[in-house]
Amino acid sequence: MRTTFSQNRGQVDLVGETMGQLALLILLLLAPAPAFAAWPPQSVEEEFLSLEKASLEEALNIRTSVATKSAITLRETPGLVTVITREEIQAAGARDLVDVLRFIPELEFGVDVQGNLGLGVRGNWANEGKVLLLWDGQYYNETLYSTIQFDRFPVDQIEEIEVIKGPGSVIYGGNAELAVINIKTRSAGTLKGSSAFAAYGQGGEARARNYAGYSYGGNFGGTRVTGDVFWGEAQRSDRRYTDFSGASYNMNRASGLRPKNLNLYAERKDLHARLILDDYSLRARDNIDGSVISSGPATISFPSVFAETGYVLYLPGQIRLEPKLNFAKSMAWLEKNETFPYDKRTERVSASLTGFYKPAASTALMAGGEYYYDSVRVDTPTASESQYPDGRNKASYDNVALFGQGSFEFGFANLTAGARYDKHSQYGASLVPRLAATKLIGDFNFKAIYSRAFRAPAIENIRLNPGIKPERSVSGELEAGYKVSETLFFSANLFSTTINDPISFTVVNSSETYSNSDRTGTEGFGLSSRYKNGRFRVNLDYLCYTANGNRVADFSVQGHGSYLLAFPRHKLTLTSSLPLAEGLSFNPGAIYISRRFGYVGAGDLKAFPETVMADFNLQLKDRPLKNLSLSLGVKDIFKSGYSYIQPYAGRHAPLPAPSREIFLKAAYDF
Amino acid sequence: MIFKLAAAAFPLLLVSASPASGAGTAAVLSSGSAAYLEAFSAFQAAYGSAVPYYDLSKNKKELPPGTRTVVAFGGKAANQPYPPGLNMVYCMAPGFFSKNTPAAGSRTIKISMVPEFRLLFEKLLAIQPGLKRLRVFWMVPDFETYTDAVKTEGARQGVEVTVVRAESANALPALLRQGLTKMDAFWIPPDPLIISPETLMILREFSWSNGVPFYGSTKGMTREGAAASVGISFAEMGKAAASATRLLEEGKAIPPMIFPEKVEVTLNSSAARKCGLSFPRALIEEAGHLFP
Repeated sequence: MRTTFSQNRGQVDLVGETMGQLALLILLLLAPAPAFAAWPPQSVEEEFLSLEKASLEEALNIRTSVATKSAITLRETPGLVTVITREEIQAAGARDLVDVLRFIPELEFGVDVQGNLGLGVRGNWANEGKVLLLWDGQYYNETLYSTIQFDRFPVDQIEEIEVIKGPGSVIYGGNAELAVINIKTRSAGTLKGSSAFAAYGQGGEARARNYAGYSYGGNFGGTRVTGDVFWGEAQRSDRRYTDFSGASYNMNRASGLRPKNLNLYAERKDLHARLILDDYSLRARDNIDGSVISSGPATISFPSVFAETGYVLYLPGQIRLEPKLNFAKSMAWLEKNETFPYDKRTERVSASLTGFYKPAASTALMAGGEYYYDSVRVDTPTASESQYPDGRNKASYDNVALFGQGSFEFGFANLTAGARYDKHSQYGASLVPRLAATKLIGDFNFKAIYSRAFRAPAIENIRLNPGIKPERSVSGELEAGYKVSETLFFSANLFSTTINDPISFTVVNSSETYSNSDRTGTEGFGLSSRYKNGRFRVNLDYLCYTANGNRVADFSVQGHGSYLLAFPRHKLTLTSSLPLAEGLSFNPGAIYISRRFGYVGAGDLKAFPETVMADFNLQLKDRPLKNLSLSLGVKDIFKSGYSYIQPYAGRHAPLPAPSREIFLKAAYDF
Repeated sequence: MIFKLAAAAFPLLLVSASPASGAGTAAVLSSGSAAYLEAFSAFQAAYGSAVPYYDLSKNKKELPPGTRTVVAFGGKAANQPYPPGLNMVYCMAPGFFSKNTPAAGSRTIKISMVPEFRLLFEKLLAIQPGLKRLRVFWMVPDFETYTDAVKTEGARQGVEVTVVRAESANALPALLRQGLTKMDAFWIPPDPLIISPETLMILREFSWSNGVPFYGSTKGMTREGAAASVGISFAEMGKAAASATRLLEEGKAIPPMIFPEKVEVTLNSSAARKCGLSFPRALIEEAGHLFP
């Protein structure tokens, strides 16, 4: 009985607190709703310009779109970047973040453990701490293993996604070794009132998902506020999972994904504050070792709280300072049933100060420092193998970092040089430099980037192997682009990444552990074309990689040295939007994936044949009501039978992806 | 707001009650919104006699018999098909440029919402004496009408002007970045296609982050983060329309575009400080609004 009480206590504490706060904040958010109508309307000038804009659009037979809100700061350093706008996400009828990111050929998903997906970047498994995901500036990688749960994010509240498809450690530190995904939700300026949405998806066997959300953005006498609420229920798949031993289970009704969150933001002049309460959980019967759990699905939760406050201080002499304070608390991988009891509470407090200085028109400098303090506390129900061996029930670490970067415009090219130095209380120092040159010559553009980056071991990596070191990588990237016309753009890139001392997950004597291996990496090239003429848009992207001297046995494909497990060597993606009538567009998309390799049994390596996944979405905007948007789409039209393969030899069988799905969504701005 | 509307409507009522009537002149308003009413009110007061007016959002445009001149307030009003042979004076239509060729004996006159460029550069140079390179961003297709004039006047006052047309508001961030090291400041004309809360935020962030002064053309742009704006008030446009109408009636020579003589300067101290600028005392005293 005592055990039961203890098992529940951890979750009750954080989730109870979290949900209590959530309820309170929802009430606070909704309380002033009746007063919204009484807010001052737009000014005389705003109304005038709005009327003139409407009459001009009518006269010129054009429709202007809302501007993207790309931040124009020095952090937007030279790199190979893909920007996905809200317009594109909505047109494609994306159901979740996986739907959005899989159309970037540099990225591909694989399965990790317990129903969780992870990302591969240019063929390299990048699940734990190698890709940083920022959601409205918050570090969403949990701090126990540094993983990201991609099913927790409400894509309908996104304004823009910026993906840096290369190293970002020089600015963002030890979770940005291979890529950075920076997501911004809609701001008060773009919302200008309320927005509500609801969606339903019907899979081959059962309901695949339903979700709903509400956002509000407004201006209270100079204070801009936004509030987003989201609730969802989905399932990973309605197909059958079969483990290495041949045991299987039907994922229908046993692979639930349940995201819900509240995101509040306020900004007045140069001061801002944000609070996010996020309670994501999933159900899975595939255990850590990939075996089917005979007793039914386990529930794994990731309740989290994020808080931030920041200020922008403008000093004489073109100097700008941005101090920021963050707090994050989570219970990642929380599992309180008997399958694998795991109950660890982590906190991270971080403070940073970044300064920007522009001494001349052709020079921009940035420098800053960042400190964080990580702590973890283990609660009683945690499985004995996951507790600290010396009987301690808590641990803490800290990290201090200094970084700087300068951008200089010379006649021959623009140069950007930067470096970051981190010192961690457990595993010591890391120094990563980056040098980039960019040049625009008429309609041509060129980029050359040399970067070093690192992956910081996470709390559990350290617990399982106190001697673990950061893995370090060296990357080179070249890109050339050509603007054929105002509507057509081509680019091509070459890349090479070598990862030294990669941290890999292994099982030794039936116990999980992490260790530094020899080296791995990939090299290859990418091609991209963009065509946009009015509402007609076609994007075609391609990536090819080959393993670059991989010496990690767990990533390798025996007999095929140019491959790495799980990830196709060739990936081609197509996204498009074809206007059919006023307000109506047809948005087809397709992904071609070449042959992949993965384990389906102990020592049983299988070649998965090339696959095409095709979707379409019909989008009707402002019809029959203004500000109403309706979507009807079909995902995986041809039933590709795609599965997420484990990119390392961790004994997990391929996890089936969702089957063909009919997807409906309605959104209304008011 | 109510007070402002009442103040705007007051001269209208006075003139309506006056026995003298502007026979032959009719006013057409795009809508009855406060901005058009403010300009029309100033027009009536300056014109000196009652002019019948039509609110296009409520009434059909039915010009009284004998109408010789239409005064249009707003782009929609200016873009109406009027009987040939009528004079038209239009104002409050920053993005609209009439393409109609007036019939013999009639004229079409635009009251510009863009200030006279001589005055614009004088004010900008008073704020930023070191201004040598100015970028102008715009979207309205017919803004090209101003291109040569702004470049010529800029060159005359020692400022190299680069005019950049944005195909869409989405293109603005990239255009700003491309121009970062090629401009000392940028100016946004009263272009309804480019001015929105989102673009103003982008312009402000760019300006403040990079210390490149953002100059606007309306009070609202200054309030949202421009270091300063040099523009024409709604009332001044109404007055200029009245003056142009009188000149037309008197058969005097008049150019097809009239720049109101009086410009309104608005200043934003904190935005200026973030760009390393300080306002001269004389300009502060002249300013219609000074945002702290």
